[in-house]
Amino acid sequence: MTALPSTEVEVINALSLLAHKVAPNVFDLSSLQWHVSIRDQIVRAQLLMADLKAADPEIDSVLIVGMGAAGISAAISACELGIPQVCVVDKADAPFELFRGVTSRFVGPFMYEWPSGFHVNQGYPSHPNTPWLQQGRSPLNWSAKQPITADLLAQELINCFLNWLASRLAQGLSLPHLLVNVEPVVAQSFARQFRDAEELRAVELSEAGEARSPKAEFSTAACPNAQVWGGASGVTFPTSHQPKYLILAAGMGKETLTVPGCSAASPSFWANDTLKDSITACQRVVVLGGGDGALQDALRALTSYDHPLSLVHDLQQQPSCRRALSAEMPALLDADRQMRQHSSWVKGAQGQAMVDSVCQQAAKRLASNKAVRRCVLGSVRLGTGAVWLWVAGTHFDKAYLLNRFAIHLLHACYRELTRRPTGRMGFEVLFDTKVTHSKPPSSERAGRWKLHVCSEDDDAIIEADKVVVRFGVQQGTIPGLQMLQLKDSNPRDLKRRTTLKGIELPFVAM
Amino acid sequence: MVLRPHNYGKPQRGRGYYGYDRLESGTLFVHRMRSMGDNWDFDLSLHGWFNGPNKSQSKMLRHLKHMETLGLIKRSKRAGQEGNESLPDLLDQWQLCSEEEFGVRMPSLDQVPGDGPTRSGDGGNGRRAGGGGNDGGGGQGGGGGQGDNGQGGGGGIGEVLSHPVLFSLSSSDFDALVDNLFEGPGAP
Repeated sequence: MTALPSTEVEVINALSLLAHKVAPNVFDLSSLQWHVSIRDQIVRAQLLMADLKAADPEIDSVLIVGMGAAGISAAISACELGIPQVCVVDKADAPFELFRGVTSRFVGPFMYEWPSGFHVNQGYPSHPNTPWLQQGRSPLNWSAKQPITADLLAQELINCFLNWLASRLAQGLSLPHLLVNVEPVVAQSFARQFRDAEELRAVELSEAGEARSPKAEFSTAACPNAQVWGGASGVTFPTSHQPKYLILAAGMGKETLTVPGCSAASPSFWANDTLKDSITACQRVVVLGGGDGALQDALRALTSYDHPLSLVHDLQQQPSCRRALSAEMPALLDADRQMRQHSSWVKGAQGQAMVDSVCQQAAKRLASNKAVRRCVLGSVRLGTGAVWLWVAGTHFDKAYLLNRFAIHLLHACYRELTRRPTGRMGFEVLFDTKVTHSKPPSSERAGRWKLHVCSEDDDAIIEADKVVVRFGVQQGTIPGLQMLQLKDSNPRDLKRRTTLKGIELPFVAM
Repeated sequence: MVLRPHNYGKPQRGRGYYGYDRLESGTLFVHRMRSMGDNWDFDLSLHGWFNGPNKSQSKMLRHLKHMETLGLIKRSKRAGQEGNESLPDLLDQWQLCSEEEFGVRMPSLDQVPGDGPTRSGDGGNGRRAGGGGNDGGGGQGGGGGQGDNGQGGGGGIGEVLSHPVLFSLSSSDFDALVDNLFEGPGAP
C-alpha cells in the first residue's frame, strides 16, 4: 500500500472574515450586527484585522470608513499588526462623533451582562472579578464602576486614542492617516468603485492569472472640504490611496423614527431627549417598540434611573430584596445564556419568547414581596403623568435580559396594586398593540398627540404629550442577512442566506 | 431544458457571475446560468487542475457522471476501465459534447480589449477567483485548491477574500449598505 504524501495544513482564524465580508475585499463592521455594545465593537474590529493579517500576511494598505469605536479600533489594530498604510475617513470633524455631547444615554461594556457577575464593573478591558480579562489588549480602555454617559465615554476614548498616537509617534512607529469632514457621498461612491474594481480584478485573476485592471483610488481631490484631523500631531493623509482592503464601520442603517400615520418624528436614539425633564413626570408618554431602545426609554421616562442597572443596585442594597433577587438569579442567568446561544444559531424569536416568560415569572414572584415592591415603586417618579409601552408583538423583541427584567418587574409591581401608587406616575405595558393613525400636536408648545391605537380587544384614540418611536433600524435600509447564500431548488424563490452575525463575541480579543 | 452558450462579457455585478460546483482537487466548473422562463442556460468548462494524487477521484467521477446526465460531457474514445485510472487520466477520458457551444474556446484577454475578462477552458493556474452565483444566489461555498504553478495558488481563505460572490452581498444589497453609511443609530 502506497502511503499518501504528507500535507502541511495551516489552520487560521477566519470566522470574522467570513462573518463580515460583504464584497470582494470589503468587510462591514457596522450593519445588522446582533451584538453591538461598545465592547463588541472593539473586539469585532480587533478580530477582523488580526484574521485579515493572518489570511493575507502581505497586506499593505487598508481604508477604513468611520471613526467610531469600531473604525478606530480597526485602525489601531491594523497599525499594531504592521500594516504600513492605514487610512481612516469620517464625515464628522473628529473621532467618536456619535457619542459626543450625548448626556442622556448611559453606556457600559458589561452593563448588560447582568445577572452574570461581570456587571459589577463598567471599565474596560480589565475587570476585578475576572483576572483573565486583563489578558485582553485594547488601547481603548477606561475605568468606571457604573455606566457613564456616551459623552463622557467619548472623552475617555479620544484621550486613549491621543495617548496611543503620541506613544506611536514617540517610538517612531507608523500612525494611521485620518481624514475628517469627508462628504458621505464621496465615501459611498468610493465604496462602489472599490467593489467594482475588485470584482473585475478577481475575474481577471481567475482567467488570466493576474489582475491587470487598476485598483480603485481614493483621492482627496474628490472631497475638497475634507481635512486631516488636527487633534494630534504627526497625523497626515495621502492625496491618493489605493487600498487593498476596505473596512466599512460607519453606521447601521436608517433608524425608524416616524410616528405611524403621520410624518412627524421623535428624536433619534443618540440624540439628547427630554424624557428626564421634570415636566415629563406630569405628562402622558407613549413609547412605541419592543427592543432595547424602547425598554430603556420607558424606564427612563418612568423612573428616576438613567439606566436599568441602577434598579438592580437599589434592590441589592436592601437585605430582604437582595435575598429575593438572589433566589431568582440562577434561572435568569440560565435564560440569558440560552437566549444568547439560541440567537447565535437560530433566526427565530423563540429565544426571546422564552426569556420573556422567565422574566415575567421571576418578576411576578419578586413583586409579591412587599420590600421589593416598595423599592421598585419607590423609584417611580412623583407626578401625575403616565408611561405607556406599546409593543406590536406578543413579547419583547431583541433586547438584553436586564432591560426586559427591569420592565417586567416594574409592570409586575404595578399589577400587584389595585390603584396607581400615590403621587407617582402610572405605567402600562400592552402587547399586540399598534398605532395605525396619528395626529401631531398643533404646535410644539401646545396640544397633544392623538394616536389611534389598535389591540386585539380594543380600538381607541389616546392622547399623549410625548411619543417616543423606538422601532430600531428600518429593515429596508440594511443589506439583510448575509453571508452564505443557500441554493434554492426553486429558482423563483427569494434569496436565502444564513448569517454569522448572531454569534456572540468574546469580551476581549487576546 | 435548453442548453445555450453564454456570451462572456464584462462582469455583470450581482447577476453575471455564475453558479458553479467546485471539486476539492482539480476544478470542474459548471456554470448555471440565469433562469429564462422554463429554460436554463448552462455552461461548462474544465478549469484548474488537481493538487494531490487521487485525492478526490470519487468526487470527480461522480460529478462527471452528473454532467454526462445533463448532456454536457461525454466519454471520450480513450476511456479505460473505470476505477483504475489516475485523476489526470480520468479527466482525459471525458470531453465536452460541444466545445464551441459551451464557449470553452474563447478569445484570450489580450484579444478582447475593452470587453472585460473572458475565460479559457484549458486549465487554470490555480490563482483563480472561482465561479459565482446566479442573480446573487446560488453560490456554493468551498475552499479552493492550490495551483500547480508553485506560486501558492488562490485557494483557501485568500481566495474567499477576493471572491466576487462567495460571502458577498448581491449588488443591490451592497448598494443599500453603502447608501446607509453614516446613518445611526449605533450601539446601545
